[in-house]
Order: sequence, then C-alpha cells, then structure tokens
Amino acid sequence: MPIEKIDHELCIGCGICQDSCSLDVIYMDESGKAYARYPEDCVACYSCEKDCPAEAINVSPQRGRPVPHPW
Amino acid sequence: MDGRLETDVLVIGGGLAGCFAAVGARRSGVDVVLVDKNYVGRTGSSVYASGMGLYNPDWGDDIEEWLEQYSRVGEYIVDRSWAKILFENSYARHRDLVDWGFTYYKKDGSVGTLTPGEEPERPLWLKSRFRNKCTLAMFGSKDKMIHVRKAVLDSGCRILDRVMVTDLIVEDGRVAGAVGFHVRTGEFVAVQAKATVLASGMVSFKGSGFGRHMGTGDGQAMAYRAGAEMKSMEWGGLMYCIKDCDSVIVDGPTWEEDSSQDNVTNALGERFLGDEGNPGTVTLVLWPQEVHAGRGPIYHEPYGVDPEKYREAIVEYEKKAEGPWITMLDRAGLDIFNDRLEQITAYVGARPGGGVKIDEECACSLPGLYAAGDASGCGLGGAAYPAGGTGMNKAAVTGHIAGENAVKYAKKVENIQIDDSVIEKYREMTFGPMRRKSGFSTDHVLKRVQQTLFPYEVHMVMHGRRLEAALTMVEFFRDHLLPRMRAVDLHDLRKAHEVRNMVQCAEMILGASIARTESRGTFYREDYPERDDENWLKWILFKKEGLGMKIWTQEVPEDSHGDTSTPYEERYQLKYRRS
Ligand SMILES: Cc1cc2nc3c(=O)[nH]c(=O)nc-3n(C[C@H](O)[C@H](O)[C@H](O)COP(=O)(O)OP(=O)(O)OC[C@H]3O[C@@H](n4cnc5c(N)ncnc54)[C@H](O)[C@@H]3O)c2cc1C
Repeated sequence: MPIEKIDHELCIGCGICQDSCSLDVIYMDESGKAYARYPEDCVACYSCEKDCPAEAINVSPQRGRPVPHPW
Repeated sequence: MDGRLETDVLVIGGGLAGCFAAVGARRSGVDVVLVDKNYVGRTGSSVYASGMGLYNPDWGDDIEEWLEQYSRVGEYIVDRSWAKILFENSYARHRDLVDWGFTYYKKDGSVGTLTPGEEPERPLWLKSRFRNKCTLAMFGSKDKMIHVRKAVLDSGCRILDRVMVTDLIVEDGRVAGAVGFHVRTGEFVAVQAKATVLASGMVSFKGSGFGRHMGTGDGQAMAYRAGAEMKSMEWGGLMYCIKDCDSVIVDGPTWEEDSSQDNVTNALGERFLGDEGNPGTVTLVLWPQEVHAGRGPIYHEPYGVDPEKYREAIVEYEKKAEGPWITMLDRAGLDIFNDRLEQITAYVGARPGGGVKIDEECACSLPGLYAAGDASGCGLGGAAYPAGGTGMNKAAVTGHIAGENAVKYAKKVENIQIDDSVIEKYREMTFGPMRRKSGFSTDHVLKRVQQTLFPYEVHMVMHGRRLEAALTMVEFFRDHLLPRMRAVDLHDLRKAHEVRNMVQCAEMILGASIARTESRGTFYREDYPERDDENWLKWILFKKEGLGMKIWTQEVPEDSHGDTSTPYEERYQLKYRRS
C-alpha cells in the first residue's frame, strides 16, 4: 500500500496530512493521530509526507489500485 | 433543512482559479462563499504547479511575438484575443501572488520575493523544449497555496472545506447556486447564490501521474447536465511517467540546455524524436505512434548526459517543483540516470484549455454561471499546450475576471425563491447511491471507465470506429451501471459522484473527438492523419440535448490562422507519419 506507515509515536496530531490529502484517504483516529483509512485510493502523490512537520509518514511509490496501461 | 445558505457569489473549487475569483468578488464587498471537496490551500492541481507564465512589456516582452508563438505551437486554433487577455493581465495577477506571500527562485538561486522590475529566473529547460521567449516565474515553498487560502479568508470570504458539490441548482433557466454534501459529516449543503463561479479544475480519470487525481471533471459534468455549452473538449492532453513508479513524471527536469525529451528512445534504442527543430509539446504525440508502428515500448534513457550532473539538476528541480521525483525513484529502486526505464501515459484527459464555454467576461451560456481555470473552455489551449506556465496564468487571470463579472451580475438580480420541495429533490439525487442496498461498487465502475479509455488506441492514436466503440461502452455505463452504483459510506459517495462525472465527461470527450475529422497538434487520428486547414480551423462546441450531444463548430477568427499561404511542411513542422 502506498502509505506504508504513519508513525504514531512521531505523529503530533496536527492534521496537516489529512488536509493535504486530496483523495480523502487520511483521517484522524480517536487518539487524535492520523491514519490511512482508505489506502486503496492513495495515488502516491506524496503530499502528506512532504507536508508532515514531524516526518512521521512514509509513502511508497506503489499505488493502492493499479491503473490499466496504455500499451 | 440542514446546511441551507444564501450568498451573492458562490465559488465552486478552491484552487488558484477559485481563490482568485473569491478575492476578486470580495473586492466589491458582496457576500462570497467558496466551497471545495478538499481543504482549500492544500488541494487542486494548483498545489503542484510551480511556474507561471509571465508577460511584461517592461522587460522587453513583445506581445506580437508571444501571440505568434502561441498560435504556432497551438497549431492555429488558439484564440488570439484570449491569449492577449492572458498576457495583459498576467503581471497584475502575479503581483497579487507576491503580495499574498509567494516566494520566488531568483537568478542567483536564492528564494525570496521579487522587487518590481526584477526579472524572475527563466529556467533553462523551457528554452530548448519550446524555443520560446516566455518568461516563467518559478515559485517556491510547498505551502504556497496556504498563502492564497489566507488571502481568501482575509478578504472576508467564507470557506466551506470538504463539501463535495454534486449539482448546480437551475431555476427559471438561471443557475441559482449548487448543492452538495460534507464529506466527513454527511450534512447536506444547499447554497443559493445570485451568481456561481465554476472553478473545479480539470477532467481526468484517476490515471497515472500525480496532481490531477482530484480533477474528475465535476464542474464540466455539472454544467453539461444543467444545459451549458461546452468548448474544445477533444482528447489531446498528453504526458508521460515512469511505468514502475507511475507518479513520477519525467517531463520537466532536464540537464543543462537539453530537454528531457532528448532522453526518449524506442525499443530499438533509437532517439526517435530526432534532432530537427523541436516544435514544442506537440512531439508528445509521436510516442504512441512509435508503439503503434511496432517499435514500442518507450524508454527514458539518459542520452549524452553526465549522470551526476543530471541527478543534480533533478534534485534541484525537486526542491522547486511540487513533484515526488527523485525521492520516489530512489524508493522504487530505479536509477533514472543510468538505466533505461519504461515510460507510459500519465494523465488521460481533455486537451488543455477545454471545458465549460466562457466568453471574455468568463460568463457561460447559462445566466448566472461563470467559469474559470481548468474547468473553463475558451480556445486558449489550441491543439497543443502552447507554452509552459499557461495553466497557472489562465487560472489566475480567468479567476479574477470571473469573480469581477459574477459580482456585476449578482448586483443586478435578486435571489430566486426556491421551494423546499425542489431542494428535497436535489437531496434525493445527492444521497441516491447511498440509499441503494446493493449494486455495482464505485471501484467496479471506475475500473470499467479506465479500461475503456486508457488504451492508447482510444485517446492517442485514434480512429473513428474505435472512438465510436468506446463511446458505445461509455453510454452503456451511463445507462446501466450508473443507475445501479452503490456507495457504502460518505467517502464512497464522493467517489460515486466523481465516477458519475467521469462517465459524463468521457461521453463528451469521445463525442467531440469523433467530430474532429482531422489531426492537429497532440490530437492524432489515423483515419484522418493530417491537418485540414480548409475545414478545421474551427472549435468544437456542444451541449446536452435529450440524452445525446448536440455538436456544432465555431470558426477560429482569421487573425488566429497564421499565414495560410505557407506550404504545409513549413507551417506544420511536426510530421505525424514517419513510417
Ligand atoms: C503535476 C502538475 C504540475 C503542473 N505544473 C504547472 C506549471 O508549472 N505551470 C503551470 O502554469 N501549470 C502547471 N500545471 C497546471 C496547473 O496546475 C493548472 O492549470 C491550474 O492549477 C488549474 O487551477 P484551477 O484552480 O483551475 O484548478 P485546481 O487547482 O485543480 O482546483 C480545482 C479545485 O476544485 C475542487 N473541486 C473539484 N471538484 C469539486 C466538487 N465537485 N466540489 C467541490 N470542489 C471541487 C478541487 O478539490 C480543487 O481544489 C500543473 C499541473 C499538475 C497536475
């Protein structure tokens, strides 16, 4: 899955990654930490990782749902 | 009734275009509401764009030269009067961005704001790829759109984040606002407005690449359903990415003066783009033709470049642009500097510049509706992306113009009294997919759409019969899958509406592509493999009529034709068929 992990220890609960996600993949859990609720919709745009002030997110280049190739 | 609001101007979509529209409208003191299905300031293609085309006569820019270049690259169906509006307003909009806190990459490599008259850095890669005279302001900082959000809030505009707009409200032949729902709370939202600005971005189909996945043609589909006229929506937007790391588009970073396109080879290892004058983005059309001729796949293969220097250039580029270039490649274990890496299409969508038809006031054909940015269609893009930096420029300039004119309209009219029962009907439509106890999943329908559109034979090397076949499939999805599509939760409901809009847009794009019986720019049909100046210096327009599309054409004004007496080979440097 593209969002390999959101490190709960490092996550400061700021919610920026949730705002950075244009595909509504990231939510905050009951403890106020971020988690990938719909990882299959992630397209590895990498915004959450880039915007995270705590370096708690690691995105892999693999997409959640492969798309058909042109040829 | 929950979430029912009234305002003067409603703006749908909070990328660059929507934000400029909101601020532009607020300058006249009217009430403005901006809604976005995501979080304004961190969403839209606008977050990922880095270079804005900038025209400034004080820097010696010659408008005639710029217009001539746009026409030539866009293969003579670029609307010159729109291009002029774009150039003449770009500096003012660029100053707005500076005032809002955008930072630049300067000539000496430092990051800062620009002092008036100071020339922004002009990246080298544009020189070789487009051979143009455009100045491009390279903006820095991953938070740049956050500055824009702040400007919107400072202007006194209300922002509703995470509200997915599902349909326009049409009453008495006028657009009177829009409805949608909050993606997290499920609250139904109906915003009644005297004027509405559509700024919801581009049409794409959640394909490869990055930065376009939220652009599912929602605005185009909503406007079409409401009866608006559409313009220039044929296929033609082309871009490529690395197959095994498909969010990486290697279409930007380059080494010194070389274009990244010089690093493209076919299966035989041939640099098939050749050394002849590179007429710009239009060469992107040659890649699938290589595949079609049996010489695929296509590779990224560093050519005559020092891998170390190439790496340095890309690392530098990654800092400036919002792209996951080198980090992702490293993570995927791919060495782009030494290895041959296979490339595939990134982003499948309508040609740039196409969308909901606007006039020079950004007014659509439906009273009360305005459009801006990637959602709007004004013949600016022509048949190939005319120059780097056009997208941001168009979003900023049209956004501002749309905002100003929406206010003028709003001041003239009263809010229409809308009956509760009408709003109830819209609510039913919005939540319909969630009420179904069983049905096709949204992913199932999405996959069918992608499988139908993504083969290169459907959108890159086209043929009338294949386009017709694809359209038949899409109509089938429309008639048999959409009415049975089921959303299991709010997240899925958002996707259900996106998929519905994608199906609608696929129908429009295929219909318009069937109508253009010629090739031009990045639009290539093997059954009509040449430009046809006699019949096709025209734009394609259409609107919904019954279940089908009513299609017609509009002549491109003569001053945009270029010199038609020039021999074909000179007029069109790029040859499509190289056998
Ligand atoms: C990777 C990448 C790099 C680019 N680089 C450049 C560049 O260097 N220079 C350049 O000039 N251009 C570039 N472009 C193009 C440029 O980004 C766009 O042309 C421009 O940002 C469009 O702005 P917009 O406001 O029209 O759309 P967007 O910025 O896409 O904004 C549309 C907004 O509408 C919202 N929305 C959509 N549907 C709905 C709905 N149903 N309800 C509510 N909200 C909705 C979206 O969430 C989004 O926030 C690039 C594009 C990409 C993807």
